[in-house]
Amino acid sequence: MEAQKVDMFLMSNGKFFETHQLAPIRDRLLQLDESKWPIIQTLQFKDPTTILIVSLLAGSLGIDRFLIGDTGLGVGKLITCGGLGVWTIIDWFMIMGNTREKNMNALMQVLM
Amino acid sequence: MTSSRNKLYGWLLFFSAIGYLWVFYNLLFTHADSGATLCLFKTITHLPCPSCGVTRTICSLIHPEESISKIVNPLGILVAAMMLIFPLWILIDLLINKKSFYNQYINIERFLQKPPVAISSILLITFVWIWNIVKGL
Repeated sequence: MEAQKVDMFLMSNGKFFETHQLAPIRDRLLQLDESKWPIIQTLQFKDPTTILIVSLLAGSLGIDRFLIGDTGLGVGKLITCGGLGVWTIIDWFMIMGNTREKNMNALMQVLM
Repeated sequence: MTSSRNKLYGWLLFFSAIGYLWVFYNLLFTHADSGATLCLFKTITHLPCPSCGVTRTICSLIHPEESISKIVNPLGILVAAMMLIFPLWILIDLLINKKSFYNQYINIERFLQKPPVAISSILLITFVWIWNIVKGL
């Protein structure tokens, strides 16, 4: 794909991924066929900051985990009152990284 | 795939261990009805959350002779079953280097994401929540 398009994608979507993932994503996108561009453009990513706000407000009900697609862990968090409050607090620090990981998985499914 | 399996197994074993410690702490050192809570939701809102009473239910399952009428939250039976089955299943999987628990976990996750199942589960949890509030746990 054209470098200009790839850089535009990274400028608008960079915040959805870990910093160390950006260089490999750029390389992979540059090698990608032009026909994949419309699919990549339509991908919806989860905003880590929004998920963090949800985690702070409703983390003990597991809503943050449900939102990023971790239904199993969401159920676990819900029925244990946020893992006795411990898991809720751990997730305040981990949920942004997990969201970025989920975004990376979503992108990789298209890139593969 | 193996790393995500190990990550899931690690977290589940960690939380199971915390769960067992919490139950034993409650059985040995405190009375289940002492009102002590780690629940952030209850501390902030003074309302019980959907899983309120799970520890008390597990304690009453271990000592049924003392408090048979104290099965306060049906989710407690589910959590007790999970605490018994999950660590064993995970340890067997790790010992024989299989991923049967992980595969089953993914299947259940997909099942729960189906709209009819998701809506029924939400309604069920809401019912338990309202019941908890009415009971004043």
